[in-house]
Amino acid sequence: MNMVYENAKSLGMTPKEWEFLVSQLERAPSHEELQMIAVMWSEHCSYKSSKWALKKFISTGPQVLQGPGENAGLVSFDETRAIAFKVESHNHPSYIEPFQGAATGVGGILRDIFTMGARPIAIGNFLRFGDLRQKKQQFLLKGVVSGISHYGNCVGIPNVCGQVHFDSCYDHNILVNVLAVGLVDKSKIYRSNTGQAGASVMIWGAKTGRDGIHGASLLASADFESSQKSSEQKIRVQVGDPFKEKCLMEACLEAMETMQPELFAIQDMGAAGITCATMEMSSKSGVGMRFYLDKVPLREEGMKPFEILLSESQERMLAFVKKGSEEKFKAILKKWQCEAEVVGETTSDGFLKMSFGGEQIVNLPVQRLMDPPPADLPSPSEGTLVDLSTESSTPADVKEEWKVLTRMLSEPRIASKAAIYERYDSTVGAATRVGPGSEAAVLWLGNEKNPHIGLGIKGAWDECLAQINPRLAAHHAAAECVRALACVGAEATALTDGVNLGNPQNPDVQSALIEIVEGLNDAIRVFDTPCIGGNVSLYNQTVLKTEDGRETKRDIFPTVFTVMVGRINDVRKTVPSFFQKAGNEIWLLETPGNPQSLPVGSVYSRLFWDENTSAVPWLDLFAERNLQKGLLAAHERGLFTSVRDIGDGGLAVALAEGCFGDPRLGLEADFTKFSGRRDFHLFHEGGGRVIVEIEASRRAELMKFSMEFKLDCKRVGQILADPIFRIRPLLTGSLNDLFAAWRGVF
Amino acid sequence: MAWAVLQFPGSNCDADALKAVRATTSVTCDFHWHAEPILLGQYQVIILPGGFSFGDYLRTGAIAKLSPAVKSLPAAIEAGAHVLGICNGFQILLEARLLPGVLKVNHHLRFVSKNAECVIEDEAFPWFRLADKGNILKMPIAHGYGNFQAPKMDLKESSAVLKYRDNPNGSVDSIAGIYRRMGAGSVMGLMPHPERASFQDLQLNDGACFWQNAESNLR
Repeated sequence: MNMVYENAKSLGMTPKEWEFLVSQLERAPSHEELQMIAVMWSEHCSYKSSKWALKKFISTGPQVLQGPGENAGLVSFDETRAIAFKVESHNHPSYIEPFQGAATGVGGILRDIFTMGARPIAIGNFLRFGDLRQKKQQFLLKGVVSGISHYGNCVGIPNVCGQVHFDSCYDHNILVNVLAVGLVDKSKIYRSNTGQAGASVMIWGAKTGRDGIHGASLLASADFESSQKSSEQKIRVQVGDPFKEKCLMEACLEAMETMQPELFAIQDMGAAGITCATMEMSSKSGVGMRFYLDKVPLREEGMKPFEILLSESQERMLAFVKKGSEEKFKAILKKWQCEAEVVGETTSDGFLKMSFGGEQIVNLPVQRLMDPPPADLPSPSEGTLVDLSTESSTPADVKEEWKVLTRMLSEPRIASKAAIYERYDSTVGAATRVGPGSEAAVLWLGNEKNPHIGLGIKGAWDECLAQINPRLAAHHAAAECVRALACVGAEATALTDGVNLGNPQNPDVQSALIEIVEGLNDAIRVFDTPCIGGNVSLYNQTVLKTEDGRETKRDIFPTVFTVMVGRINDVRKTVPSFFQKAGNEIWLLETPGNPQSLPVGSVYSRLFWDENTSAVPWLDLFAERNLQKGLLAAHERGLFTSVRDIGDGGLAVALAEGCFGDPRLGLEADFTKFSGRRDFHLFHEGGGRVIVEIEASRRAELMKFSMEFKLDCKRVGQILADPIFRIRPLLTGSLNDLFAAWRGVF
Repeated sequence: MAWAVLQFPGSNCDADALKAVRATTSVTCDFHWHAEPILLGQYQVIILPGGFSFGDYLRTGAIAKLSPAVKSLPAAIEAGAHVLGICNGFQILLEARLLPGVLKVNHHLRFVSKNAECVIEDEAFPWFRLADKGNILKMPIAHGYGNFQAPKMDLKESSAVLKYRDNPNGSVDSIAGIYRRMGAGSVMGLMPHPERASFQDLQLNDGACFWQNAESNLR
């Protein structure tokens, strides 16, 4: 039966796309062809509403071995090894079914990594929930954490870093982004574009079932709240099996290791399952394919061809292998309890031909159909820069400092996340030198040639800043990653991004997208950290009830998880982020020339000031570069005993947190010589500052050091052998009380 | 004589155990696939690693105990092999009834991952010497089912050689590891992960004594 436009419309296609499809085919598509193209041209698979901006990312550099376009980007690590890393979102599935949604999010990104030939060595989780006082949000948090814990722990990949914030803009649209990092031998990198005609096409891994059909096109690509009932959506959420994933991972890595010349190309089957994998591998490798749908191992009886084509059953791979070697691959997969079936062969005619029951039902000129016609997008709105000088009135300075500090420490964004990250195995792999709860994660990856080499990993984003000024928010996020990595002795080398935005038809969303890309590019130019790939999730919106009871939709705050990795030459030199020894001195090290005197854009200002005083603090990327160089030099010289980035909550929170590593220690700080507003000194954020612990005898060395790297340095205080927290002349009290406030939230 | 790390589908601490043994000793140590029975006298030390053998479907360790390698363990132990089960490996040893007791879900019902300090309570040849008694070892724990329970009677034939200082999972008597002699060999099971605490570069090195003691005691 030939399809007409009405059929295409019901699958979310625009008239323009339908006309383009018919013109490329020179006929009407079959039912199966239409289903395939509709999902390939969905937002999730085609990036049609964001590609124009993403193309502007700076993504090249001598360290980049693979930029955007493959399953994951690759950056050089040492002489023989490279790092693969990528963030992936699973937002909408996790809102509908938090456990499976989050679990399969982990599964999908792990496959992206080992598809490149890399063994996954770490994962991280970047989460956003609505207002935590709602029961629903607590349920979602619990489900998501359980799902990530269940899947990651079972596969056995340490979960070493993350970030979780709460804001009512995520009430109806939580964000679940998972980072995965892998390590690969440079001579054993696999790609999906290296296929050739005359190879056998195999499916490896799990059997194909009906789960996840239309996941990509409906859940991830449309404004999903209104169109579907949630019971209908639930069956579109994939179901994960981490044991199958672990077996598939070991089987793939063994096949890649032992059968390299006979394995031509490989890709994981994620969104849009067989459809996406066959079309992408054909087009990237420049080959055609004959594919026999009846040969796909099925989990359920009576599946229709389009169901097989669109199934998003997890834990499956598509591989092009040498003719005659099929049985050898089957033996490896069978050893690991995985299915392996020959389902077709590659051809030289460039057409993807699929048959079912002896009848050809798909015949697509793949190259011509990979990209949909350009989407009609609104022009980005003019960015609105908030000018600090336009502040209507200056808020009053802080009173009751101790009470405010205690309140800040129990703010969910700042409070200890131990109750979350202790659910994740963070030490499997026997490589975690610094795990969650610190400035940046550190993995020890020593080999014979470089016995003490390591990798630092850090991700950050502040959506509250991005809502005001996306470009500056990008600067802050990049600078925070670079600074935190430098604290552990890692020089940031590359970046990946997890973009989460609202409806792309909204001009403000398009504006935020390009502003963030340009903002990250500004940072990439200064820090030399090219963007090696990323992920985009659009249509993230939350529902608001207006006063007259109507529902309207509001886009989430722009949320772009920015993750960087960096190499550490000697992990033994990495110092902790908690204070170590009574008697040692604490100093503040900062980039000079900060023109501000108010703690704008901080957790403090959001909690205690009117909303209309919000602004983004000033940041100087070049000064951050000096701070980075200084921190790296101090790491090499062993100047600091501990070092801590000043982040959410400002200096006072950083000083308190510094004491939380050892219940016997306390702090005596002296702010009597600090002039200006008290709230600025205590709670200002804004980047460019760290606190360092030194032995008193190294004071002169610190002075010389700060001159050398053009940094300001100020003595803050001294570590005590009692659990007392005192900042003269502002506050004093028991550290146990502060610790209880910080630790008691989750 | 050689050492071996058993490998089941779903084991995920197998490579870590191999890495720890190779980094801290000069013994020959390799993987042994679960589908192959272990021959008498084939190995001096056999490590059952942590992970989720066979996905922990049915019950932790319940399927792994049926594998040819585990079925051949009792005879190998009687003949002199020393078996160490870590985490999931401990669960398998209990399922195979080579050690008494059960590991229930943690009393707080959550997976827990952190460093735990444990006290050596007794000698356990070849792992702990009498002189090690009272030593404190800091090692990571990472488990959902680590709540060890056994009637006192059961524990007579075995001894609780390792106890938590700060019980993280509700185990009876804070037991972290148990040990028994069996014929010419021995069986030990524990929840903490010495293989993740065997490296100077991780600043977590207390577990190295397991491998080093066994190497010198079995020389």
